[in-house]
Amino acid sequence: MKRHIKAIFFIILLFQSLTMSGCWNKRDLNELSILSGMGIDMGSKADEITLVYQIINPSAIAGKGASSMKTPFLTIKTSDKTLFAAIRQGTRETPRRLYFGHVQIYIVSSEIAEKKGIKDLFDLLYRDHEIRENIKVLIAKKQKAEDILSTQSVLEINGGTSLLKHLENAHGSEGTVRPVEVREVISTLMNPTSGLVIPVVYLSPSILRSKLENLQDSVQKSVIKTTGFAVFKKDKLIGYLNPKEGRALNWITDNLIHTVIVVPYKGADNTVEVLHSETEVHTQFKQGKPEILLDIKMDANIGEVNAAVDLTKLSTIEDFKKYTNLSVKKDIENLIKRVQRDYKVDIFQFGTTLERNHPKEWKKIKNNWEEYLVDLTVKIKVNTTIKAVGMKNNTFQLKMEGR
Amino acid sequence: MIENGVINRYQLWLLVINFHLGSALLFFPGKIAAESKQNGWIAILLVTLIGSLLILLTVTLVSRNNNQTIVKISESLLGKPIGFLVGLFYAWFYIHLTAILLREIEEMIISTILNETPEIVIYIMITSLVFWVTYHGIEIIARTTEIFAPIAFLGLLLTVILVIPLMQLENLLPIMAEGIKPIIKGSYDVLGFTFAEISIFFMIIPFVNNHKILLKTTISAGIVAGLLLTVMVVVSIMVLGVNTTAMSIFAPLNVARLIDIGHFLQRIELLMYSTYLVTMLVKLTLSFYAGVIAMAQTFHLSDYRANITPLIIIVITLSPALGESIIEFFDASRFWTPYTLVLSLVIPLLLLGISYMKGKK
Repeated sequence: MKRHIKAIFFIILLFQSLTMSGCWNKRDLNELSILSGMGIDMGSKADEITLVYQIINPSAIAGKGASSMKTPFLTIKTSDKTLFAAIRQGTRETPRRLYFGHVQIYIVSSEIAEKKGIKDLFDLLYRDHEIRENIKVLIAKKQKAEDILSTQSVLEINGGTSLLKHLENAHGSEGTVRPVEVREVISTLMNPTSGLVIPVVYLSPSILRSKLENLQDSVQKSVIKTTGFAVFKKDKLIGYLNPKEGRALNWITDNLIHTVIVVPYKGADNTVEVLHSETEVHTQFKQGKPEILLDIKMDANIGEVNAAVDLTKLSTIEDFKKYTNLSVKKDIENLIKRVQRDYKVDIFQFGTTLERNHPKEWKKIKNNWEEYLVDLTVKIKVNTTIKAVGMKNNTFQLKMEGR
Repeated sequence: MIENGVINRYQLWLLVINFHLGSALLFFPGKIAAESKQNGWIAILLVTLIGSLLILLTVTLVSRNNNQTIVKISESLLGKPIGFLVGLFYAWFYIHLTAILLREIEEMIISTILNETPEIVIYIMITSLVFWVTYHGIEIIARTTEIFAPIAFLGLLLTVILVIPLMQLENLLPIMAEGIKPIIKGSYDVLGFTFAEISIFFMIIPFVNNHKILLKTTISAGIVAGLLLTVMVVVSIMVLGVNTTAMSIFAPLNVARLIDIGHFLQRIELLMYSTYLVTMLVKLTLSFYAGVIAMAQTFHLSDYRANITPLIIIVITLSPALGESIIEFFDASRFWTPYTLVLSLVIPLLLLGISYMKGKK
């Protein structure tokens, strides 16, 4: 009897391994349209949104035939009242099933962000199991998401990857922008006292460059730029931060990696390269009023000296430190003033820090946080350490002047 | 003895850890963040403390009564009719728990990976495995765990290491801003889903070969499991933030989905799936096995294997009936903590009291 049961089980197992070796809802690669980017524009009707998909064309990307005259991606668009409905309409326009697992970039046009707000554009990205919540979000400044998604790029043929690397490059080296993921958008929106910022992307100048011939022109008629931020109040776009303000914001929120600062000194403009920056936000309450102290510590190199100064003297280095500190401090002060005057939203996340450090006092001022924010005292302390001066210890301008 | 197999100390240690991690690993962070917010980890530590006491109670009761199962203990202490009812109650609980665990696996698989697959396919795949392992008895269950548990731990460890770059320590602040009340509430909510289900081990502990250092083994395993759960809660809150963790049904899966090391090492949430599936299958098999043995002992059968087929059919039919949707299924879990506490605290305490009274005579 026992032997019989064993045999039966063996047959069942064999059968299972034959029939259940794949998933039930398997999809092969050649049945899929892989998306690398998505975008949202205003629909033609008032209550509709237009969804733009950037679909990778595998036969153009694969292999060494970079000169093949096939477009590496194509964009299609569909409109409906909700995101999911629009996505399902996409099946009418492609022979293959759309696959969202590799979407890297999600672009929302500023028009829809200003007029309708963005709250209806994110739930699906969060709820669906196929889409990932670390997609990077961008705002197309005064342009259509479609224009940006259909732009051919020369150095990275895959459109979505190109935009992602654009963003990361600008964040890593210049620091005027920083990637914001879908999950950050949602968690910021969930917190009623904090303000949302989303990085900005635009074509400059605004000339559509969707044809493949553009790739053969060394003078690009227009380029994609990712710099600065769009500022949101609740979920509506209310304004922008320019690149310099964007960098100041990164300083405050401790998101700056590298940047360069132009330091005027002895009648010439010099450059200091920031290698590492760390910001600590200290908070305190004085007579029921919150106060913020920003403590910024930077390591820097002197990158370029155009003034006739003696770099071997310690006093020169001290001066460089002083002027660097001043320049950073001024940038940050300007941004805080502008936000307090024009936007009145807490894009610095000071409220969250106050809540973490002083939960009891925070409860009292939470409901009137906007009033407190407008005349919040922010003290800024910048401390630069200059580590190196490059490969030369003195300047040739000094010799030019015959000293 | 109805079962001739024996397990050693190390195997029991692994079984206890896997049993506590199964199901709790994925659901805990979300559940506990909803009530206790940032202080979820304190709540888990509290649960671990209570859980250790429950383990102490379980082991004491079993070892005071010649290492018998709860069915035999209640029969000898309470007499035939009442003992029979208590035994039946325990057997029912184990089967009920099996059905719930089966449903949990099914919901997890359907809402995250195979969302077009019919439920019955998943039920059959999992129960046929459970059938096979249970048929061969406790030794095979323990050995299977011995082989697969390292995979589970490795998956957990790798996931935690790889999300280190995404962790934000500030997300854990402020500590205890709302006082102790939300912490107690949160720990009450989740107590029923791990440590209060320890009553399964009333049916497992009797098969351990060395009863001398039993207490040390089980309690250390309980503490290790509690600490691993704490790590998972802390990691989820640090990576996702409190609000998002509370919103997520499977928060650790969401955490694992975010792994992205240099755009190269990414999309490896299957590590977390493997941990979940291994621990969950151990828990499922143990509770089913406990149900089968309890049923056989209650009815004084000579071989427990005859029970497997009817009980597995009951489990497969009960599982879908537990709720129409995942929401209804979770909603019913409100009554779970008191229910499990009756079986792991109230009845064992009563039995222990009776055994002390009888012992004095």
